Amino acid sequence: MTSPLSFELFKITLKGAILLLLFIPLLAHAFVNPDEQLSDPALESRAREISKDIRCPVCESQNIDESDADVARDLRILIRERLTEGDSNKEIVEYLRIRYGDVILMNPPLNKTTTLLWLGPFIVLTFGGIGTFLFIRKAQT
Amino acid sequence: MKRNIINFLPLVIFLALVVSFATLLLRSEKIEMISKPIPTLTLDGLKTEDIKGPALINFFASWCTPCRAEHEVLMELSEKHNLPIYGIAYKDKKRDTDRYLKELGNPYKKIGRDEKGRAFIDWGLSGVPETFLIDSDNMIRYHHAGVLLEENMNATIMPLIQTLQSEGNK
Repeated sequence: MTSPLSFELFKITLKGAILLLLFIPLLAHAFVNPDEQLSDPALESRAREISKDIRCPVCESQNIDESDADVARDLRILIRERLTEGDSNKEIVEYLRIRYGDVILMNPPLNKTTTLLWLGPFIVLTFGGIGTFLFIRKAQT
Repeated sequence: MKRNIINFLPLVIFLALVVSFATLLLRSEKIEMISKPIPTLTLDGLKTEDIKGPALINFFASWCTPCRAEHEVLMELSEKHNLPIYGIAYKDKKRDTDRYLKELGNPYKKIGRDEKGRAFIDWGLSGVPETFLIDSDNMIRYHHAGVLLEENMNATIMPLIQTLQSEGNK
């Protein structure tokens, strides 16, 4: 009850910060402009589906559906053009993967070069867990 | 003593990972386009059939500051070595490109205008400047992302150019 004022202030700031962070996902809205959209809703939904798995080459941690970068916009238009020409989703993704490599996929496949990326966290967790377990056991005796 | 070494092992592994990831992230060589024929160009000013390797293909723009930084290197290459440089102006107004080259000199044999940025994607670019070195069969042999520094030229590009030019003379 007698906690100092600065601590109260800290608690309020912390609560505010957490509340603010909760709203950040709402900012991640799609950047597809109305003039980019296809009139065929089936094709448009396929375009959205592809775009969500394509990483923006300049912003890296965003997919092209959510990025307002120039290149992301060009990629969205390219995807829609190819869909209209009758390309399959797979053909479009492959077109980009050949040029940019697996990095262009938000969900890169598990292969020789990405093994460490996919398994790394589990390896770290396992060894970290064993290490922590041994350390605690030693500390108790 | 042995115990100490084991205690430091996690730190050593961590640092090794940091170094290897940083090298991969910061490297300027891109490998995806290597050993592929050059993508089709149908640009205003530059078409696929205009290009005859061995040559350098340089994506640039007048609004791109790093491009200015490598311009000197390109000028020197075009003046002193018998290697054509083809330029692709990315999202640049013709007036601006002309003014830029008038100010700094024109190292390019031919310039294509990629106004829609379609060639940019087709060649797997993620920014400007990026540069490709192609052989006499118009196959991509080297892809450099970012500014071409004097040290890149000396260490990688120049030796490769010499190899390609002697290959072409066979």
